[in-house]
Amino acid sequence: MTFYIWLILANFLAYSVMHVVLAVLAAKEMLRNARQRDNWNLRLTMTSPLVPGISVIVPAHNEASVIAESVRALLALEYPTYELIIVNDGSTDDTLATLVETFSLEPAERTAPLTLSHKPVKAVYPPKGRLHLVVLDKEPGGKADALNAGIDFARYPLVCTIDADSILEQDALAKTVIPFLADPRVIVSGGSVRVANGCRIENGRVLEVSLPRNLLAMTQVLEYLRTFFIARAGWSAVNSLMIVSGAFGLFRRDVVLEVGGYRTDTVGEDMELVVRLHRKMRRERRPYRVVYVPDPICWTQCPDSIRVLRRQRSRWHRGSAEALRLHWPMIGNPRYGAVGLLGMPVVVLEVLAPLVEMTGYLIGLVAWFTGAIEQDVFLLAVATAILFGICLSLSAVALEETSSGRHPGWYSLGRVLLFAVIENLGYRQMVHLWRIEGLWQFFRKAHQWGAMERAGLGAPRVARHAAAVRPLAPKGRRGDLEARRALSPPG
Amino acid sequence: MTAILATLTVGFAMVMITLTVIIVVVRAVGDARRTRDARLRPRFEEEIAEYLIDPDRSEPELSDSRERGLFLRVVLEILVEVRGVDHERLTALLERMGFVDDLVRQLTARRRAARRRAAVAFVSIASESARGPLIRALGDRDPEVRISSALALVAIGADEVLPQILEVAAGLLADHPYSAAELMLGAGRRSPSMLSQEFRVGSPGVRRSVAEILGLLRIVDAADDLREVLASADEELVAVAARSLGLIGDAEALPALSGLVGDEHRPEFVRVAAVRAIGAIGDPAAGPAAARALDSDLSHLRSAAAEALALLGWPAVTAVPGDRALPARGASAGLHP
Repeated sequence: MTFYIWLILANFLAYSVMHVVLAVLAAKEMLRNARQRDNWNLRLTMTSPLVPGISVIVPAHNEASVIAESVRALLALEYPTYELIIVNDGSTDDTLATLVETFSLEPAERTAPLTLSHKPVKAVYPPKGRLHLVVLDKEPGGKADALNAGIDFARYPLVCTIDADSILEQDALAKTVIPFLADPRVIVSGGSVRVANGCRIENGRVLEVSLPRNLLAMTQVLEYLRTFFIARAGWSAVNSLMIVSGAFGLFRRDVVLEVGGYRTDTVGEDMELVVRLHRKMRRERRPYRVVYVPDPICWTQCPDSIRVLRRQRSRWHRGSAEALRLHWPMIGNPRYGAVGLLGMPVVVLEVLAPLVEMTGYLIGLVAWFTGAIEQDVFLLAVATAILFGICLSLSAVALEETSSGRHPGWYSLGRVLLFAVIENLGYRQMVHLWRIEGLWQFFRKAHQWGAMERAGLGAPRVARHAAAVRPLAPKGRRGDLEARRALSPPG
Repeated sequence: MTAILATLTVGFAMVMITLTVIIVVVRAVGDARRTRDARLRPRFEEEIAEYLIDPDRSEPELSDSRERGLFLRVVLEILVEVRGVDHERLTALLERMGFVDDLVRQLTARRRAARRRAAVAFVSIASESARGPLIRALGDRDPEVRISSALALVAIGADEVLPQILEVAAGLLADHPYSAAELMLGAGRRSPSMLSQEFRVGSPGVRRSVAEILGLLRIVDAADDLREVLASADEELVAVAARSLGLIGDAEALPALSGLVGDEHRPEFVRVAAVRAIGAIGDPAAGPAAARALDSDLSHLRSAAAEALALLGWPAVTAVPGDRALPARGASAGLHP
């Protein structure tokens, strides 16, 4: 019993130290981002013909009620050169009809290239006049499948993946592209995702930032702050950012094509792609960076019911476990540098953390009842864990206060501080149980895959990337126009 | 164990309190700044607007360094939006109020952040009186300062230092390719002939960058040089040159571009660039070359060829992945306009 208690305490210590280091790194990264922001005159940059074009890809499945408004808002982004590609992924409602009617689209006698793995595109609705909107109508295949179709069809060197119900701030693209301009090694840039629940939204724009009334949504506000302002910023500082949210990420299209696009056989396709990019670039010893930029904001509605939140969290956790399974050779492997030695092992810790923590509570309770540990020890251990969680949340709030983002009023700040405490008194534990459920689903599915492989029905693979796409820079330092060529404006 | 846990508990509790205090203080300071800015900004904007109408008005009165800082920020935002006489008047106002002298002093500050801020400000201000210090700043050890100083000199119209600016750009190409290209673009706008010369004599990396700029600036005189490199073994350069010739609209390049489209020894991205250039040039007579690309095994080439044919006014064609191109229903046999 004592051994288990020490094991759990050791795990807690490792976890705590890791998060403290991450918080410090995050503060450093935020400062670097602030300096980079000051060095760029955004207005001047956005009038330059050299700024690379962006293909904004939006998978849409049964979004008839919101698609027109979303598209109108996305067509008004402040960025000089971009196209909006809506991928209708086999919707059974009026999503396509709404788009066609609202924007007077007509199908073209042209189909999309088929370099990446995705279901066939049935029709292409090309841009009309000055409208930089393209609609692809394809057979249903899921989000990753739809993204692959969009990436295949994209004409610009950068692709931005967002969800159909996401709301991008008007200057989000401009702010997210700056790392690519400042550093030719950057291959992925992710912005901040914030909770839109409670905000005043009109015509696809967040007009007033406010906090949700719903308790579940309110606690998720804290979670998102911690995730982005500590974890993402911290890992970005050591080029070991393992995930860029599918809700808002900007990628170099040539690199994504090179690795074969998104896998369509995992629920964590966003994380898996980023890990695969790390793997390829590190293995080939090519200089690269995957960065987080705190300033650009994408607003998204988070689940406000337990049922939906539970499904989401168990799916996310399963996705993390699947990414680990697919890239397990990277774990602890010095060949992959900081990603192999730090990033991947930490993902392992994160995946197992719910099990360890809940086991810790259980063992602690058993130990207390059986007298193996004293009441003081048990209560102090629980208090330590809860206080540490609160400190982590408060660190994220402090970092967010120093950012240039939009801040709600004092009353909302008070609620945030209160929920930083409340979150650790039941919500965290509940989420841990859902994550354990996700782990269980992962192990069950892995077992099923194993059976399928034994029967000769291996899991679907990502398509081999066609050799037709040009190779990237040779090994070694990228020079001169090699990186910029990848970002050149279209001919 | 109890002592350790008790220490940790107390420690975390103190950290929690400290963080809460920090958050409240940061918010309070931030709110005070935002409130002050919200109060002063409209006044400054109005005064600047009135000054632009009547430059003989007296200068705005600024009570402290915070107000000066905000005023400068507001003016810099407006300078990006205005041109011509208004830009000159605002620059003159900043000079009279001592802002330019302050920024010139910051250009030689020890702190890199101060030098960068000053150099970035001068990109918008474009003050003649900063010409000398900006030229000296071209030799700053910080690349960001060099970049901004060079951009500021381009904005001022310091043509005598364009060779130096191009040298700075060439030196930045490896680590700051975008900024290097911006400098070349700025220099090219001031002196297209100097840029063309750079294309002839520069290193391969410089040539690729300059080739792109020549196209963006539509420098027709550079078409001959660009056409020459279409036979080069440097695939990147060929692709960029093809794109640029498309932007320039050089019909004389069509034979060479058509050759590139059909050249199976060239990588796909070169052939795609060539067929897109054919579409951009817009001569329907070049259609057959693009139409032949519809038969290619390369999906992106087929797609680009279909786009190019659409631009050339050919009837819609279908480029189906994995299949051969099919004429649109109702079109005559063969692929002719």
